[in-house]
Amino acid sequence: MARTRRRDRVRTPPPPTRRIRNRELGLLVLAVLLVVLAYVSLGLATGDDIPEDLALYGVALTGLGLVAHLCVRRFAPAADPLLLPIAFLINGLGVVMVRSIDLSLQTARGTEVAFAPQQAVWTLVGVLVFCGLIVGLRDHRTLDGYRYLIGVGAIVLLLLPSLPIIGQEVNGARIWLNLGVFAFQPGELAKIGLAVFFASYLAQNRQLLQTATSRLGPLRVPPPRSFGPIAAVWAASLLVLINQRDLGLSLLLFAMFVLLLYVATERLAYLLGGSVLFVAGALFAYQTFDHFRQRVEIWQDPFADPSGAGFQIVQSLFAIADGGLFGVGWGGGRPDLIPFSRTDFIFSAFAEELGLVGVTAVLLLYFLLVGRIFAIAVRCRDEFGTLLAACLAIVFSLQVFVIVGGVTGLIPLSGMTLPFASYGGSALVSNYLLVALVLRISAAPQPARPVRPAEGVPT
Amino acid sequence: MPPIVLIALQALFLLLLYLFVARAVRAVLRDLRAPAPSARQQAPPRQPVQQRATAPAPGAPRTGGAAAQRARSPAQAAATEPRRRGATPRQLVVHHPDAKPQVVDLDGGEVRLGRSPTCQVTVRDSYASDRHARVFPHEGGWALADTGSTNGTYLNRQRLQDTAMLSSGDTFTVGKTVVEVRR
Repeated sequence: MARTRRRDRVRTPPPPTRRIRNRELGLLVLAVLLVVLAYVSLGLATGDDIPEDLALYGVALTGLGLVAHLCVRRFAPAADPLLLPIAFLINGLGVVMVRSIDLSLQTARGTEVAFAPQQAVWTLVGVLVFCGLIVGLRDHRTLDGYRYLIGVGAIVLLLLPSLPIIGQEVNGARIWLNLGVFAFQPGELAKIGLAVFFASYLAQNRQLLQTATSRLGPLRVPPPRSFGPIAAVWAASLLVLINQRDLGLSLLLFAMFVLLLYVATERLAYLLGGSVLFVAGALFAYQTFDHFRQRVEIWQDPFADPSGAGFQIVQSLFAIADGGLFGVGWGGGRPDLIPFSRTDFIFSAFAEELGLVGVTAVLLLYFLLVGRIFAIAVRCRDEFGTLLAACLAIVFSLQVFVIVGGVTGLIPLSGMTLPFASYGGSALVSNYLLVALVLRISAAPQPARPVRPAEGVPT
Repeated sequence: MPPIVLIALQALFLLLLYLFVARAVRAVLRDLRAPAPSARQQAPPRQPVQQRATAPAPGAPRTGGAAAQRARSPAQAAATEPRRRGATPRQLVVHHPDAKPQVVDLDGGEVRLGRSPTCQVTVRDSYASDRHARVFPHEGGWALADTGSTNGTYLNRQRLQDTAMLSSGDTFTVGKTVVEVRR
């Protein structure tokens, strides 16, 4: 009797994960098709011929998608079906766009330019890291136990570029790490480490931070003992970043911190306090830093000095205007005229070649991705998972907003990569890591799962 | 390459791009809608305790009852959740948000759940009330009642209005803590 009952419990079929995974596979196939189509039209537009390396890239792309999919199917069967295909699609289109920029630079300069193959290699690394995390990390709560290690590690990563030999200064910001064979931006990785630390710390101390028990002058503040460590880590990271003149990342960390405090405690006071601090900080930076004031002035009137200070924005706006409604087509634009078109301004290149209709779809993809991550945060059962997913969603969406807003002239420009699309290995790998983490959270055991019989089960 | 081909390719690309977006949106919508119908399907048989005149007799053979349940609604069982429901519960499995699951045998009297240490099941869960809910013997089975909690008790994802009979396979939540009802 007891035996049959127990077997009954074991036989309880799992939730219909196969349907979820098939949906993911379908979307992945569509994504690969889209990237191949983009590459073919790029080749036809620029060389009157289907590119010779299409077969190589097509097979590699299909293989990577398949490997990632099978990894998820095997090791995280209940994971969200949308994140991977969307990330993969944006990544693939980004590589094709980098290729398009390569080709237009080649025609303009007459020399060989090949950044796309490098980005393809980084894609390979990114997908491998993605698979590694899905296979290696079976439960996101494992990270919860290493919170201080991860927090300190993130700060160390941020500090590394300031070291004499391996640190490198590029374009006025000392954020690069030169490792001989390749260069790396440790800040991108530190971002995710800090997200894990904040989420883990806040999950544990949420209640303490919700109540204002201590007094600081006329203000009632939460107990300093519970607030101290997180404020210290945050201040340290901000100082490091300002020291390295990486305004984009410091802005991102500040906003992430404030928004996550609000998500964790549901206290509007943190949001208001954060906004006040932000305004104060912005005013201070405006007074003190020349390059910051210049950014604001360019934003107010980019056409005041179209060939000097405002050159970047003006070229970006011209490119977007050139795209019109439906775009000039893959390979039909002149992304060589936009400065930094490969990294910060890749959105303008997309706008030129795909038009308003095309970039709207791209923005919709980002929107779906972020919305999905927030939904995973809401659905997650443990607080650490909820906060981590929310934090990663905040990081991701802020990045898209800041850079798209910057290149379209909505807000002052601050250098940042467009996730998954921009050229840059560190960012791409970190973003794959982010998606893998969120997938792991979304695959966490659901409440109705059959649990193993605990001790004391009567037979 | 004639421009018309390039224009056609661009149109095809944009079309496919929106097809991708549409399929993704459809998947999102399907997920949003999915739990609702199944919850509604399960809802009607769950009647308040008072109206439940035909509750199974306490000594009814359990296996027979389960077989009858399976025979009666195989389609419904397959459509909603492939889990056998309906037998008299004998255990609660409390899934604490931050601790190991706790097994509570339903063999004595009433089981109170809440944050208060006087409850038989104390949950460390800030979303739960001090005295949140109770499970008590009723008409040969076990019933669940909300004891005036702030955030409510949810039985199979539906807010519990007053009192309801429990059957094995049910899950209910007290704050963020999920409790599984077992045979």
